[in-house]
Order: sequence, then C-alpha cells, then structure tokens
Amino acid sequence: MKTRHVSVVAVAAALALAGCSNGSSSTTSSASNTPTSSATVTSASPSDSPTASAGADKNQTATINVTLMKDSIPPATQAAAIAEMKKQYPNVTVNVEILSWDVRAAKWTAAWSAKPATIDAAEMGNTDVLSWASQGALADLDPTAFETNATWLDSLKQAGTFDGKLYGVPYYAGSRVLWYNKKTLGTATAPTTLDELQTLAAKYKTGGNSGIYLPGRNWYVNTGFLVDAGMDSIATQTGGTWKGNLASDAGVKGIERLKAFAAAVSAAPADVDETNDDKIFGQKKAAMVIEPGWWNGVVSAPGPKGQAFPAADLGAWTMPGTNGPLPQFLGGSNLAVAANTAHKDLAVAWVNVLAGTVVQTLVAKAGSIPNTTTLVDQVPAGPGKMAAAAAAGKGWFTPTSVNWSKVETANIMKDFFTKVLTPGTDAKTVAAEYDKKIEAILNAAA
Amino acid sequence: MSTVATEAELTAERRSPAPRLPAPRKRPRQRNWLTIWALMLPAIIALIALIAVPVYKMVVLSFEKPNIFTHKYKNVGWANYKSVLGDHEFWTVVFKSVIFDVAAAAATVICGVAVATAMMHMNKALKLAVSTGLLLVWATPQFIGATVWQWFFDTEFGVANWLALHLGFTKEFQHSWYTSQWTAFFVVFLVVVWQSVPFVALAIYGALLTVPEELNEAAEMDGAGPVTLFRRVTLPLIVPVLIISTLLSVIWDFRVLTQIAFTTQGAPYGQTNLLGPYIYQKAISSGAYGVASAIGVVVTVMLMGLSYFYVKIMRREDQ
Repeated sequence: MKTRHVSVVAVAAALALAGCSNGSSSTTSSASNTPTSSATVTSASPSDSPTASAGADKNQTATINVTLMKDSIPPATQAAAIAEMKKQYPNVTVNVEILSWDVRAAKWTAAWSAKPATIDAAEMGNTDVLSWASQGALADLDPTAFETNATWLDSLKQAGTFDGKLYGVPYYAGSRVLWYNKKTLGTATAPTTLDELQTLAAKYKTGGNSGIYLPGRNWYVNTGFLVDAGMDSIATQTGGTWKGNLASDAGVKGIERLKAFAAAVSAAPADVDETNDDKIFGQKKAAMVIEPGWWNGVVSAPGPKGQAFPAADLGAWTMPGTNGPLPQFLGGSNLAVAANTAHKDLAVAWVNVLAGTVVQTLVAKAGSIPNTTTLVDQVPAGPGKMAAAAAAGKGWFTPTSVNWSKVETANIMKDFFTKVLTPGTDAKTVAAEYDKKIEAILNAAA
Repeated sequence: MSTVATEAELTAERRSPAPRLPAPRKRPRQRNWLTIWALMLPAIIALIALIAVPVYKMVVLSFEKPNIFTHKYKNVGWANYKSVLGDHEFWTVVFKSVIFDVAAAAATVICGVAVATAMMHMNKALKLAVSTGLLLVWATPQFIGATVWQWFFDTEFGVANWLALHLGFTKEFQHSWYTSQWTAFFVVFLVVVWQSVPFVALAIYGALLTVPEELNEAAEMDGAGPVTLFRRVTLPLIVPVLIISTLLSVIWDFRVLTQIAFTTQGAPYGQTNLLGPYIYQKAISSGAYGVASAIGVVVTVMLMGLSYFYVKIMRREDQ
C-alpha cells in the first residue's frame, strides 16, 4: 500500500503544468444544474477543517456570484462545497453558475470589466490563468490564506502563478485514458502500442460506427500524436520570439500518423469536437473513446430520460503510443478571484472551501487528481489512477505565453486539426499555415 | 399702374388660395408641456441608456487602447481606424457582409410577397394557421431558432443528413455542412431568411388588404391576367410597404451575429464570420476592444446611411 501511495504521490508531483480542465465538453444534464445548499454533504465534518480566510467576518450577510465549469467536478461535490460554505458563513449565499467552455471568455470579460465585478470567483482552465492575470482581471492572492497550500501540486501552482504572484489557486488535475465497451470488445486484452490498438480498433469501424471515436476538433487528444512523434511543444520561445512547431519534421510525422490512425479506426467527422462522445459511446456507435479518468461519472450518470451507460460494461486502458503511453495533455483547473470583486474576503473563503481538504477528498474519490499531494492516495484504483500514471509519463502542456488563451479562444488548434484531417490536405502546408497564425498571436503585444 | 396683368401676376393669382372665410375664434390653448414630457420621458431615458450612451462609449473607445479590467485607457488617436481600414481581412468581411445582406434581404422580400399573396387566396382556417405559424417563428428568440437549425444540419445527428441518406440522395453517413464555405453560408442564409420572412409577409399581407377590390375587378374585366394584375395594380399600391420592409431587412441582416454564433461559429476557418461575429472576435478573442470599437463605428455609419433613407421614406408616408 505504501509503495502505491508513494508512487501516486510521485505521479501527482510529476504533473507539471496543466490545461483546460481536461477540455471535455461532453454534455450531461446533471452538470448543468445549479447545485443548491440542500445537497447532501458526504464527507467529513468541516468543523475541524482549518479556515485560512480568517479575515472574513463569519456573521456577515452577503451574496457572492461564482462560476464553475461544465463537466468539471461532479454536482454532488459542488453541492457539498456550498454546504460547507454555508456552515462556515451561515448568512452568505453562494450563487453558482455553470459555464460551458465555449462561452467562458465572453462571460468573464463582461463580468470582470464591471466595477464591482459581477462574478466574484471562478474556476478557470489552467491554461487560462496566465492570460487573464496578465491583463489585470484577477486579484493576486496570498498562498498562506489557503489550507492546503504547503502541499499543492507543483504543476497547478505554476499554472496559477504570474510574475511571481499567485492568481490561480490549484483546484484539481486530470488526464485521459482509453475507455471501452466491455461487451463489444469481449476478451480483447489491453494493446500496448499504437499499432496494436489500430489493428484492434479497425475491426469495429463499420459504416458510420467507430472503433475509436476520434473527432477532428478534439485537439487535446490529437496533439498527443504530434508529441508522441517527437514534437517538443506546439510553440517554443527563442530569444523572446515564439516559433510554431506544427510544421517541424516531428510535427508532420505525428500528423501523418494521426491521419492514418483516424482513417483506420474512426468514423468521426473532422469538424466536430468531443461534445458528443458520451452520446456516441452510449448509442454503441463507438467501441472506444479517449476521455478523462473520471469520465465514468459522466457516461454512467442518469440522463434526462434516466438512461445511463451500465458501469459494469465500462472498461479503461492506458492509451498506448508508439513507444509507451501516448503523451497526454496535463489538464487541470485553478480557482481565481476577480480583481474588481466587492467581496474579496468571501471570494477567497469560497476558493478556500473548494481547495480545502473536505472538498478535495471528494474530488479525489470522484477520480480526479486533487490539488494536494496528501490526498492523492484517495483516488480510487482504476481509471483515475491510470490517468494519473499516464500524466506522470510523457505529458505535454500548452506554450506558457500570456497570449496562449487567445489562441484557444480563436479556435486556432481546433481549426488546424479540422483542416489537416480533411482528406486531400497536405500536412506540411496546413501545419505551416497554422504555425504562422499561432506565432502572430503569441508574438503580438499582450 | 398698368392694367395689363403680367404673366407672373397671373401665375401668382392662379396659385393663390381661394378667399378664406374668417377663421373661428379659438380660445388660446396652452400646450401641456408637462404631460408631453412625462409621456416622452420613458422613451427618452431608454434611448439614452440603450443607444446614446453605448454609442458614445464606443466612439470614445475607438480612439483608445483600453485595459477594460484595470480601467486604464491610452489615447491612440486614429491608430485603430488606420489599422481597420488598412486591413485586407476587414474589407473581405465587409464585401461578404454586403453580398450576404443583399441576397438575404432580397430572398426575404420575395418569400414575404409570395407568402402574403398566397394568404390572400386562402380560406379562413388555413389563413389562421399560416398567420399563427408566422407569428411563432417571429416570436422565437434568434438563438433558439438558430440552435434548432444547427441541429437540423448537424453532421452526426442532423435530420438533413438522415433524410438525404434515407431518400437515397447520398450514400454518405455524415455530410459536413460546415466544412465548405458555400454550404455553411447556405445554412446561415436559411436561418436568417426563415426568421425574417414572417415580419415582411405579415406587413405585406396588411398592405394587400388595403388594395380596393374594385380595382382588381375592373382590371380583370379589362382582361388583365394574374401577373398583369399584380404588376400593374397591386404592386404600385404596396410599393411603400415593400420599400420599408426591404430597407428594414437590409439593416437587420447587416447585423447578423446570433445566427452565425449558434450555427457555423464562423466555420470553416472563420470564413462565415460576417461583420457581427468579426467584431465579436476582435473584442472577445483578441482583446482588441479599441479596434473592435472602431469597426463598430464604421458599421454604425454605414447603417446610418441606410437608416437615413428609411426615415426619409417614413416621413414622406406621414405627410
């Protein structure tokens, strides 16, 4: 047990930087519900949890508006967080809004340019923090005000730090695994290389059905093929200038491998993203999908009509690459407080609740990697731990530029993969075209 | 003094009005300015808050490089305008917007006239059903209508692809409507025209109801066929409504944003971004609020040109 504990801690520590909260945007009815304070608290008593935001008046009456991201931590955990906040601040109402990833920039822009800000605190993808902090939208925070700060995952801490100051408190990390339908795959054993996986998955590609559903715009997964082929990063900075690497020899090799792989195993269109993964998998139009380690909570959750994919039929493998696991995007989320908030003390208190031991224990139990190394052993065996192990291998992260968020908001990477995976396009030409687009954004004045 | 009236005098006499009867004495009435202002005040406040203030701020912002979070503003003079007007991409978007606008407005008016004319020949029940349908479409919020159409043309779950497959038009399981600029524009075009036709159809239907029946009967007795009847009798009488509907369509269709945001989202590769989404991209994605405001000002000036004709026609109608 101890060995496993140590290894998982090492895994967590190895999670260097991370990206947009796993990037998944699959739709579930439960995720869009705004939790209420009447939700069940399923964890330890909060009374003994230290509260670092001691500056906030416990008896004050106020309302704070906060946002969390769609398909992030499960609704039950959100409800537990609200209940925890209610216990610590009985007269404070927390209005939680669940944002979809596509609209976050517009929503934050409107909310944080107002004075006072109309969103006091927010969950952000870890690739977001740098850009918003550099623009002055976020408040700098004192790390010692947060209960778990001494043992934060270094990756998420780095992602939340700009110019030596903390703007994004680590929330959770995650990575992807290969989920499969046990009934469809029968006795198949875990493939150890990409070639083996291709041979296995190709058997299930028939008509409109996929062996592995690999939509073109799922750029978090697709970029892994380029890194697998040896691409260092999407762009690297030399002498203060960013240069795109998509058209590098390794990048092009990875694109060609991805094209061949996708053509052999996937019927997914090049112009859609992973939004429909759960529907496609649930309707048995795909034998396998690549999704975060906690995805079982999404696909096995009851839908609007009560339907759910049977948990017993759901299996998970580590996604193989050419040599070892396919490099996975080091996803994760941070928690930020608006610079223009009128309730900074309460916003910090709310962040402290989400980042604190009570909620983080639930986060770990749900299969995500918690923000503190001390709770990583709470991640249940299976997909969650597989994801952590995959991330500890050769992971990748987005360029650490304050402008990177603009590349994402403008859908540059999604468009790149749509174009390059459209039959008849030349990988090198398209990659060079998008390198230029990325360079233009990254090298522009912030 | 000459006894022969000059031509000018005669003309003046001809033009002069008939001798007037002494006007009845009116009791001098004072205008109740208080009531007038009280009635106008809500509209004035709304106009100031919703139009004047945002337009003023947009104009100010167009000369600045702002940080909207820290509220620090740096004056950059005409730099934003120079950057916009010298940008090839901007003119491409303007060109596309104008072509789309003219095509959508024309299609809207043609469909509107067709529906209105058809309604004139319907029985009561059918007319009620069509009117209700038109009103429902008109009342549907733009984003809901656009989402429904997006689903209709969805690559994997769309009814359009399902129909095409099952009716034997294609053997493709998943036709991507948004990977070609033409088919993507077709979807946006359909959504915009679908949402605009009800207003035009009902306005023109209202105008058609005012055409005196005797005129049609007289023309028919003189041997006019349906086409001649429409072209020579009906059309001239509904021209004012037609012009106003066309102008409004042109103005509305120039500002298309929601319909693109909820269908193609600019796909493929930003090629279906017309002026509305283009401004949105500049502001929200690029954080170039000053540049976006400058584009906003340019577009506002363009639309004011169109609105001038609209107001002019409206005033003529009033007189």
